[in-house]
Amino acid sequence: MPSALIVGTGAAAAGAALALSEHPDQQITVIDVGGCLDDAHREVVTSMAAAPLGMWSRKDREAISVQPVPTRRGSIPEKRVYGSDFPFRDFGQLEGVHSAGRLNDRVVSGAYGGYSNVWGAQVMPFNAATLAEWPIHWRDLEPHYRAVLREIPLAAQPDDLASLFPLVVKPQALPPLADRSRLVLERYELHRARLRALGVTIGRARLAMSADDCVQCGLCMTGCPYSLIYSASQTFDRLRHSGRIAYHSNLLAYRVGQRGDQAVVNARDLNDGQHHEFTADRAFLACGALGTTRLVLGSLQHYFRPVPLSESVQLFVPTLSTRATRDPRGARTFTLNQFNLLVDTQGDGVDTSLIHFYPYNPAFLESLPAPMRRKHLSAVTTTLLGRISIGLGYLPSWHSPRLLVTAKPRPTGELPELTIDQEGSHRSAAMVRRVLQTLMCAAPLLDLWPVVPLVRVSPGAKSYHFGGSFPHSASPPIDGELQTDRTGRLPQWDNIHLVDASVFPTVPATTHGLSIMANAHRIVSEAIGAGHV
Amino acid sequence: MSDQTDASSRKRVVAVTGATGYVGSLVAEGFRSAGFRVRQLVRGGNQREGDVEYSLEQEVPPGALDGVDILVHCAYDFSLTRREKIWAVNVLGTQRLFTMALAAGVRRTIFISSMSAYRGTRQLYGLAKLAGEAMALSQGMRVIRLGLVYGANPGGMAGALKRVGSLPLIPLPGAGSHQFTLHQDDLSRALPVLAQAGEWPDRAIGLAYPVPVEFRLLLKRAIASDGGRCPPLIPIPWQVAYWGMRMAELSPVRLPLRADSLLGLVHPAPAVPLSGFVRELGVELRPFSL
Repeated sequence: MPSALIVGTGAAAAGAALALSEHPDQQITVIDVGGCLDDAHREVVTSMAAAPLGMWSRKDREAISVQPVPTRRGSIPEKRVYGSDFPFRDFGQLEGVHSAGRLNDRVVSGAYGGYSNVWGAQVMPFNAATLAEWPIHWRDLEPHYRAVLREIPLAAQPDDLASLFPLVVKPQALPPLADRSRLVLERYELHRARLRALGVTIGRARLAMSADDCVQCGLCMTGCPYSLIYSASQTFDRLRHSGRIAYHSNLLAYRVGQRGDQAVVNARDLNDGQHHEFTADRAFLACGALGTTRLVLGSLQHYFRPVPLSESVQLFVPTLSTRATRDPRGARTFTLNQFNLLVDTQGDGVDTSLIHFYPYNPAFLESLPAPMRRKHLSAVTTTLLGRISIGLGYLPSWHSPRLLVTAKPRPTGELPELTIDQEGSHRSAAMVRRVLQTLMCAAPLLDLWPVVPLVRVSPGAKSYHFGGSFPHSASPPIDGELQTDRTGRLPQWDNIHLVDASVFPTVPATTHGLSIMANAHRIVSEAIGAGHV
Repeated sequence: MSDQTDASSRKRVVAVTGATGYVGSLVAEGFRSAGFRVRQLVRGGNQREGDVEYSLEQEVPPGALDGVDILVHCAYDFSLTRREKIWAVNVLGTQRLFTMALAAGVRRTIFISSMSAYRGTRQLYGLAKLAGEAMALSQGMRVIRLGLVYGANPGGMAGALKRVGSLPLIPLPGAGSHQFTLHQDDLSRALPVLAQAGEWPDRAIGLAYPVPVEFRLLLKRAIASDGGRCPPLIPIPWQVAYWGMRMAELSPVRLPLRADSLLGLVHPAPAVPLSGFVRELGVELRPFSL
């Protein structure tokens, strides 16, 4: 019976596991750090999930709706899920990882499900124009987008964005939108041709959520008590419960290699320090772009030489509207991204920035200066909250600074030390300027005015949209090159496949998670000879 | 050029939008000659028996694409000069058509683009075509960028250049620029071949002879093609001509050439994309000659 080993449980691992599980003859083992929500918070979530919305206690609600926490100056606060930081916590996987300056250092998740526990749940494919620059094209990935979207729920609506980013499957309807989102979409409809001519296309959010069951409790951003927002952990839960995979947690993989025709992965138990060796016909590395990069550089003993990674940097764009909506604090709605605004600076669908707009959520209030949260200023606060929206945008990696990671040796049985730096911090300036110019031109049409002095580009590695340390190559990679073939293999290995964003040739500005899953699904399908699904 | 028309294609239906325009009529004729049944989607007033009335400004009529195997989208409204109107009609009209084609189960759609559509273009026509290309490629459709189509009795841009010959002196903006050309007979013969090709790249391909033709030469030949004499060409800065034409467009005066077209002439595409791919399909294109 052919055997496969997956390292990791994030989005890429879920895509790989899905593809493998489609083949009954495959014996699948998954190893992972497997950090989880603590028991106290889990109990609260479990009791809330078992009760209707009206029965939730205030105490429980507060326990699981902790707002994002500032971590570094000038950086977007770090999200919490169900009141916990477990997706970002160091379970041992971050030991030896250092970031220069303001750069983010929580770059490898040790959580079961990885960063998909805290993602924005936005699922859009990369578009064909972007993929034209890859050795993997739209027609190669499309069946795998379809396969992944059979696993994860999709709430969306056919709209102008669908002409550039196909929906691929029939979606569920999104829950009702907040007042501001409805107003913007109405104005877009009214001025559609003018906005499209400016390079602006707007569409509703595309969310990996079971929208039909949404009760609009407003807790999306801090963790849905009913688990309606997809996380890779749900796929692994399903596969574990069905007995399709063997899962081992508390394991930190520190070395990969080949012995004969077997892939070998060495891991250390984070509880007792014991070392374990796993062998399989094929190994699929899915530790997240930087986790996999660290594991591979250490295994290849590629030390002291900086390796570049592409990042699609994040752009924080607060906006104000002249026309206020009613006080959003009283409105019941879902609080994930509600509409997307695409700015196409060249008109060819390649040099784009995608901005996700979020309606009010309690984090808005917490980010206001303290006096504005006092009672006597409540009228002013209400006026302001009725006018604020927050856009989180991304720039394509070719208009963003690059990350440089350097590995240094550590004792046997440890992952190498990893230093993360950034180069070309000026690279985003021109694109940011073009995006803001376009937004200013569109502002009177949409009544959505960017507050330019508050616009920020996130520090390096904070977008979590990075990859490309071992990019897929159009021609077979040769020894010494840190490039992979179309099944994610480095020249040194025949049956070890990198399946996460570390193999992306570029990182477009559109959302990341779905494409990571789809590409992992494709790699596995091609590697085990299944071809298209 | 090889004729790859097989027996089965004789019963296949190809719908051509803008089939009474210069390019559209050549495309329709090419498919007819290759044995296809052609359904022409044309503007009201231009219809002949069997044609379907269609306008980029309106919804695609119900049933217009039923039973269609191949859709070739050539229609483009050149009468518009304002950016937002161009997008309202040409870009959103194209989006509507593509949506209908997908809903009607059209197996293959070909978007006729232009060599004016290239990354970095500032020409509105080129940008509108680029927007159409991005949508077409995203839906797995085929995109073909045509060079400057010319022939014995040219229409379109080549026809406009020929009409310039009636002036006593011809201002020549962008004297050093170039164009990639496509003979009208080659276009007619190539389209059925390209439409039936199996493998296709996920990007726009260029259908034009890959050697650039100097604009000055092209203009002279176009004007003198009827045996007439070409009036003297006076090089001028293109900006002068462009803004002069923009001003004239605000008046009721009808110019033989639009200011936006001038941008396409003075800022041509640097190269023909994937011309080797076209050659591999057996499509031979002729060098420019008039």
